Amino acid sequence: MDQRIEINRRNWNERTPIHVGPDGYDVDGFKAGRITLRDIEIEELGSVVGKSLLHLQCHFGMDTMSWARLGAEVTGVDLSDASIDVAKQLNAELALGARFLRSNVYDLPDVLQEQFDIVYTAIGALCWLPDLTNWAQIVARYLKRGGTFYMLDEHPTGRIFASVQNADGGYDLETENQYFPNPDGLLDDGERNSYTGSDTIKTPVYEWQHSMSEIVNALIGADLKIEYVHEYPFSFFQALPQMRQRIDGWWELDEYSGNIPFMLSIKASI
Amino acid sequence: MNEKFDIIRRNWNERTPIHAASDFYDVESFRSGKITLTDIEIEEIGSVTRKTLLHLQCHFGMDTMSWARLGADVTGVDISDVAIDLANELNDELGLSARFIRSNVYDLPKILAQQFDIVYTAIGALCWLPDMTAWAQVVARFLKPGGMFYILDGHPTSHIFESIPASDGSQSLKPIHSYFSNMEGIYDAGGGCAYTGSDVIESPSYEWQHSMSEIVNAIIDAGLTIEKLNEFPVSGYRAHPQMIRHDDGWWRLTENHGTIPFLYSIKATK
Repeated sequence: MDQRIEINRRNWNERTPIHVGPDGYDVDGFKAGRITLRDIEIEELGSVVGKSLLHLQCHFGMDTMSWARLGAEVTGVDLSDASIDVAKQLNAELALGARFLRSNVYDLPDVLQEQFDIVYTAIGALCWLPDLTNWAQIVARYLKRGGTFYMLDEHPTGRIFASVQNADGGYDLETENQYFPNPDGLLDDGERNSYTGSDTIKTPVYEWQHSMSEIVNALIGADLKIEYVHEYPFSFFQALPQMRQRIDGWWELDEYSGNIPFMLSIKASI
Repeated sequence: MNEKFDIIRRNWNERTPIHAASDFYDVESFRSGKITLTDIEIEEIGSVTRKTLLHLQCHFGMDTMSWARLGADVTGVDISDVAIDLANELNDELGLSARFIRSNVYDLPKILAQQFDIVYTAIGALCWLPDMTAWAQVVARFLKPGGMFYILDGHPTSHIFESIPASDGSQSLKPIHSYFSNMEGIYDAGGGCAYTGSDVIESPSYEWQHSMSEIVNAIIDAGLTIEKLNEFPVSGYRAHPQMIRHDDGWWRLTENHGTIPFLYSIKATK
């Protein structure tokens, strides 16, 4: 077992109650029937009615259960026990017929055998995985022949930048982080804010950068055929302090809007 | 659009004698037997012995004829009459039995009918083309079933950046230009230096930015299968003042090496 994955499990256990809480993911809205998926995902993946869907790195499962609300037969998998406990509670309370399993992505074959019409992963997932070659093998392992893989996540180019406060009180974009993969990962062991609000996360965490070519080649190497790559000039979270949230929910830079890709989606088939 | 192609053709007609006289292109070494291809291309394409190869946007043909020296049966195509004239002269002088055709990429199917084992495009090519969808259709049109398309070109992420001098004399990389495609093209009024040195190119020109997704999706939509996408932290020329040339001939950032991908390659099959 990779100790870094164990560290990340504890980090996500600490995050989960914060994300479920009042400054978190709007669980009340979800309970009242909200579909938490983004317009891009719904449009790009298309109808899921009657399809079996495996959601890798599902956190506490609101997106997973949203696919269930849209007609899919869903299984969600996450590293964090706390997350999977919340997912199961919500599923029982709302009677959505989802299944949730606690496992890290790489060890999933120990606890799950079947294959699916769709394997799906989204919104802040790949940065928690050290090794995309093995990840893509897992994706392929769980796809039925003719099945679809779909992902929407951060664009590696968007991750190059950091913001530095300037003399006018505004922010300048600095070219700071590596575009290319870092197999060792980046350890963040200081206290930091959760991305959902001001609560402090004390547990350390590892992150990995993955380039476009690393992602694409991992999928091709697992015998998936790339159907398309899409790139978007906005983000699903406030990746940089000078980003503003648009009416449709995406975050964008006001000054450089349209210049930098912050998200990518990939559809592939087997 | 034809007017823009004509402007580009005249620009490359003016550039050709300047390039032919430059150290950058070093025609004398080519005459005495040098292979002008990069190590990346030679390794990734593999053996070309007795294969037919079509080189799109071949300029005055040193790379095309280098593939001939490596055993391929080559055809080079370029928009510039002056470049094709020079290519034909060099080919005759050196007895390399390459064939050169003057045509813009999009009009090539009107004058060339055969299909090839390899269609090849190299550094500094796609920025002179407005339309990736139509370009990829031409690539597919000239490939035999089972044939290979290969491109090595400037990475769209690298086109975002300019170096801005700081007060202490250091250079900082700033995101200035759009990553995303610009359909109308960017007009360059001329009067700037050739990339080979200090000679001034008076003719105006147009350039187009193409995002990675635009390139990849055009290739897929033309019926090709992406086999490999690679990205490289090196440049074929001094893209920024803080780059230095290493013994292997590639230019690298002195600080922050790895923050920016300067080149990408794609291998695809029909």
